[in-house]
Order: sequence, then C-alpha cells, then structure tokens
Amino acid sequence: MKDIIIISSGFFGVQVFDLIAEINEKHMRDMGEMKYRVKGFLTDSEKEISIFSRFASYLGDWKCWSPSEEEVYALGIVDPKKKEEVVQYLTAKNAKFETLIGPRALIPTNIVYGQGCILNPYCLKDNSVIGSYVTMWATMAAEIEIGNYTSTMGFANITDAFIGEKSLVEHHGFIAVGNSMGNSAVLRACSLAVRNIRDNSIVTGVPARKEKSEYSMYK
Amino acid sequence: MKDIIIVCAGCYGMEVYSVISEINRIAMKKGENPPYNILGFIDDNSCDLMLEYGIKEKVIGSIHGWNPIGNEVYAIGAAKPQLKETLTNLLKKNGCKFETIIAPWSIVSPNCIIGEGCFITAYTISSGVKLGNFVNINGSMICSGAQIDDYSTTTGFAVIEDAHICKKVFVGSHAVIKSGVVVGADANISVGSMIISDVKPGTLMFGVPAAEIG
Repeated sequence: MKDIIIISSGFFGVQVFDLIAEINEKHMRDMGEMKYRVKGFLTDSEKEISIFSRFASYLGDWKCWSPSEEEVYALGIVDPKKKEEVVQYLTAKNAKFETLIGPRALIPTNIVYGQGCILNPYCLKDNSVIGSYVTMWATMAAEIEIGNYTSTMGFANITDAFIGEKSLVEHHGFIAVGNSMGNSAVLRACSLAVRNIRDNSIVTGVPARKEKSEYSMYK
Repeated sequence: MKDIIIVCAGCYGMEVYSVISEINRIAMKKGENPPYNILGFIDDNSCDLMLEYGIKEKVIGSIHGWNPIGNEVYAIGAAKPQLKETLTNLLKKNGCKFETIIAPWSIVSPNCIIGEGCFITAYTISSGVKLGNFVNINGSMICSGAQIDDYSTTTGFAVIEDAHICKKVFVGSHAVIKSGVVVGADANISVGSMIISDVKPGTLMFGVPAAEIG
C-alpha cells in the first residue's frame, strides 16, 4: 500500500479523492487489499480546507511542504498554470507524482502517457499520446495528442485533435474533428471550436470566438 | 419489502417506474429479495398505462384527496420544480412519506448529504455535495462543494461545479454552472448554457455565456 497526498485547488481535489476511493475499491475486489492510503491534502485556499477537511486531514500549504521518499502525490488541480507551478516547486524537492487511471474509464492498454496524469476519461482510443501532468475527466477522445499540463473536463469531446501544452478545455467544450489547439489556450464551457485555436487565446460560444477578457478559473 | 406508489403517471413517472423495476431486478439477480413492491400510480388524469406504455400497474387514484393506505412510501414522478412543490405539499399534509431513490448504476459518494424524496438516475455525485428535499438529478455531474436546494431539478449531462443552486431551479441538459455561482430561486437555465455569474431569482437564462432572456 502506497501513501498518497492530494494537492488540491478548487473543487477538483475532492474529485481526485473520490477517484482514489474508487481505485481502492476495485483493488480490494481484485487483490484483497487497498492500493493507496490517503495521508491528507495540501492546499493554499481557505475555502478548500473547510470542505476537504471533512474527508481527509489537512497537512498544510504546499509552498511550505517538504516531501519525503515514502509518499507519492496526486494533482487535484484543473488550472494548467497552477499545476505547472505546483509541479515545478515540488519536483525540485524530489516529490514523485502518481498517475491515477479511473477503473471505469475505457482506456486501451497501448496508449502512451507521462507521469502525474489523472486519467478518468469516458473513453480514450488507440494511438493517443498524452504528456505528463495531464488531467482528463469524463472526456471523449480518440487518436489525440495532448501536451504537458493540459486539462480537459467533463463531457468534453476532443476526437482527433492536437492539443498543446498548458491548455484547458472546460466542461462540454467540443473541438470539431481535425482542428487543433495551441499552447496556453482556453476553450470555455459549452463552446464549439470549428477552427484552430491559437496560442494564448481564450475562445467562447457556438461557434467559438476569441474573448477579450482576462480568463479566471474561479469567480 | 417496501410498498411504493409513484405520484404522476406521465413520462417522468415512467422513468421512476423503470428505475425502481431495475433496482428490483438487480437485487433479484444477486439472489436478494426485491426491495420494492410497486402498488401503482396516482394521477389526476386517469389513463390506461397498459395501452400507453405496456405497464401492468394501474393508476389507483387521484392525487387530490389521496390518503395513505398503509405503510407505503411514495416516489415523485414529476420533474417540474413548481409541480413537485405543489404535489408534495399536498401529499405530505395527508401524511404520505417520500422515499429517496438512487439508481444502482449511478456513482454517489458516501460522503454527501441527500434529503428526503430525492430521485437520482445517473451520473456522479462527489463527496461534500448537499442535496435538499425532492431534488432530481437526471444524469448530471455534481462536483464537490455544490449545494442544491429543495425541489430543484438537473437534467442530462449538466455539470454543477461548487455552485449554490437555490430552491425550485430547473437546469436544462448540457448546461454548465461554474464555481462560486449562486443561481437564485425559481430560475430556469436553458439547454447548453454556460453560467459564469450569479443568476437573479425567477429569470430564464440562455446562451454561451448565458444572458437573461425572460
């Protein structure tokens, strides 16, 4: 059994906690023992502490944390920039990030993925290449390439797309077949991209257009 | 085994019927006793369910003036928030008890609070979610920290992040409600809308991002 610590930001840390419970349940059925023991969570947001501390113990701020050799880390963060910040800070201190794959997800065995990913897509097809620290949640995807730190959220459809690094596809984002998405771009919720999405752009709407406003994940 | 009566015999009542039947079938497959015994439907418009949907259970009475006949429980087969409020108030006054029904294939975390008379068909409800009474979740994704108050309904593929949905709100299919948003009472969120800021009570919202249209 491995000790695992969740680094949480926004609502997503608890989702990862639920995913670990699900993985444990399956491991218990198949092997007769739990796979992970959740040691606690690290966060820098006050709101998160009040919700999350009901399920797991609060260990402190990730900025003041010194990792030990025995434990692994799970990224409970959606925001790609934040993920990069946390990963760079903690990997410099020799933290190891664990890849978690949802037991219900339809994933073939021959896909290529890096370290520290949270993969709980609805469905992922052959010939997909996924970078490190990628988060995929209930997403439909086939023959895709995804760069490091990118996140795709619930019910997103990114079939046959190429997505760069540090990009974000929000809930119900849909990239029409054959289009690609650059680096650090955002496809907002419920939007339909019918053209390529350029680097650093934020697109919204049906069909998606460039948004002028500054993007923020949380209100 | 619990006796159960479904309130309303419309399309949504049929959905409740099929979920309860499936719960029974799954229990029987495992070799357990089926948990529910469906006594029938109550509805103000009497109809022949055998003809309409091929269901052998009958409409056994009307909702107005209905009194409990024994120890049976009730499941609400309506999705419209205002209708749910009227019907449940009427029946609760006469002493009817409402049952929360959770479909066995939905993924509901053990660490969430669910009120009475809720109906959950699918998809996921995470830890730390608070549902009031008579809330319907029909295939939505409810993320941790979300709070949904009494009589609200969310439909297929809707995503509720850690937002607060007040009483009697209807959330249409494929709608996304982002973190930190408060949706006021009696609001109606149309299909495929993206809600990124607070919604005033009683408004109809539509679009990406959503604007008030009524």
